[in-house]
Amino acid sequence: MSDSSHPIRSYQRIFRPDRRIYQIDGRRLPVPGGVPLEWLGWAFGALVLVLVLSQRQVVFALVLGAIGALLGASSHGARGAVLAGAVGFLGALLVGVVLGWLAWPLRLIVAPAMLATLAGQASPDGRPAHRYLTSWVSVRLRPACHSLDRPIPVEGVVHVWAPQVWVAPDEHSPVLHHGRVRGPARLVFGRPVVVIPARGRLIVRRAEGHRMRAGERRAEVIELSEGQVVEVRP
Amino acid sequence: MTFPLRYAHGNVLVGRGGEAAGLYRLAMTSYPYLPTGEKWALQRRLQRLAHTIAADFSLWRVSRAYPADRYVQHTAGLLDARHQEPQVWQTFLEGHRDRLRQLGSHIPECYLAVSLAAPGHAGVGSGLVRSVDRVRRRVEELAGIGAESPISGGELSELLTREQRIFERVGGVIGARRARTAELQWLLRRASCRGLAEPELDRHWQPDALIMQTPGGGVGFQPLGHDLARCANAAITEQQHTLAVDGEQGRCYQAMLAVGALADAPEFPGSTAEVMFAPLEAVGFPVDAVVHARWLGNRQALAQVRKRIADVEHTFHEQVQGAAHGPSLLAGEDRVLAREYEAQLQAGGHPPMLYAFIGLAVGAGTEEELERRVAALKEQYGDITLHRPAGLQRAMFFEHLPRADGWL
Repeated sequence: MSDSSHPIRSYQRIFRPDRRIYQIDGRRLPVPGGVPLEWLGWAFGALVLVLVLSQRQVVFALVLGAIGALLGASSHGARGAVLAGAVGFLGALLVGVVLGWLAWPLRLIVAPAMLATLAGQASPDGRPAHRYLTSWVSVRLRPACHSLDRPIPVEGVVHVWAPQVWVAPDEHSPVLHHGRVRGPARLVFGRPVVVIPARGRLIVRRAEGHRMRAGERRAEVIELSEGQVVEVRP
Repeated sequence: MTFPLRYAHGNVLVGRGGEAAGLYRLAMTSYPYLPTGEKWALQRRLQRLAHTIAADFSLWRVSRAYPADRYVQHTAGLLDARHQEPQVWQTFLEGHRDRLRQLGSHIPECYLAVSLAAPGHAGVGSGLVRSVDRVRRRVEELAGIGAESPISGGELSELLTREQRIFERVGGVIGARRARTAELQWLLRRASCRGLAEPELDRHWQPDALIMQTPGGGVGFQPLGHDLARCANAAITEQQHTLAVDGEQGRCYQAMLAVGALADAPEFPGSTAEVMFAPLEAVGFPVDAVVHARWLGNRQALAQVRKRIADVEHTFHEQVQGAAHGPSLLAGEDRVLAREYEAQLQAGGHPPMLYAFIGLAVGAGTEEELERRVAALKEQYGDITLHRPAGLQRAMFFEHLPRADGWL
């Protein structure tokens, strides 16, 4: 047992090898520190992306739009789906147009090399660039507020659950409402009404303020036979 | 990113994928007052613990607010009434209590969760099997067909037997006792009021399960997972680098940090080696820390290190033959380091290897205070970088909850 301070050796460095290519078939590359394999991966990926985007294919733009729409729908519903889908579709076409304006050395060599250099050197939050980008996009696409894994509305945002609600009066209503009843039935009104015979049906109106004419009668209960129709017109 | 627990039976935690762990509360030591020799002894004991348990484990270092209100009650009896005035003593203690309240004093506690996976699960290719299993579960969840089957009585009693074995192993190396249900509740509930207040506990809380008759005629337990989930279901609003958590005690702001690469040869005893102690004690506010460690047996560790030896040798020879300035100093050092580690693994004790993640969680009542605390903490860690990953804050929040699968 030691009574003094000593260093404790950490071996984590050997588990993060920096893989580089220094030569190909015995020929040294003209890069002093070698070319990192990660850089090559990024450059290849960027080149493929540039080639695909510069084709301005509607199918590819549609695929990107669909991916965007799916992500948007999962977080912001139909509105998010439309918006993210449109951004994906139009963005892919627009980038294709911009790439088309560039000369081929710029498009096929300089752009992928720049992208690979940037991605290889940047490690925001201690993570590789692609992981950071994925998180950055996902945090913007997914709902901001959760209770465990269930999305919930953000404070201050009002969510209307049923914007259109149909309300129908029932027998407890204190006022007379429009209605049409076909017999057989027995109608009981809360207060007396005027029954006016019309063509093939009976019209019921409020008794208050009504001047009675011939053939009209006041009633509180109306018995309807088979097929007879009553229309309530307050 | 779902709530990690499905059931808890005493101190046995059961995860959503069937993973199980025994939860223990570790005895604390007044470390700063130990002589250097004793600090080394403690360090070796902890090292032996990782060796002895022979399983994946998680370690939580959390802070409990000192119960200042009970200070007077606890200390009033220390008075010698023959020579002292009780009234003066009472006033004196009340002064202490008020000061303790102002300071927001807290006491650290350590909890250890050890995997109860069957020994065969740690074999060759277990990582691949676990990854495939995780993907399958995720697909099932997305498709809505991920049914959770009841835990059979036999399965539960087997888990309890394994837990007993693990408990004996842990207890043989360091002071520990089984975590209580109230402590599990506290660990779950405190996450939503971290840095703000102490959670209010329900004295009668107990995670429940429906007892069922299984087709084979035995007894099965269908856990009522919401008993556990409702302890941590606060509304979490995720911002780029911060979480706003609306719990029962009010809104608090939290930042989740990941400890970056440790120093290559930190001095022990010393703050660079004591990453779970010195910087956390140096700041005047509570900080929670968690370690999730995946345990690799000696044979697997050796296989890993030999691959790395091949890697470093290859890099060195590539540099010798191809680099314009010859091999770099680091490439040469890495060769020595890899061989040295291989020799250590082959030494008498046949030690295991750990893959570990260290996370920190800071909470505060306001965003400004949170930023101040994070800056103070980063300053204490010095050369060790603390990352605050954007987009992973919510996922990391769940890493600080007691769980049975933190190492996956």
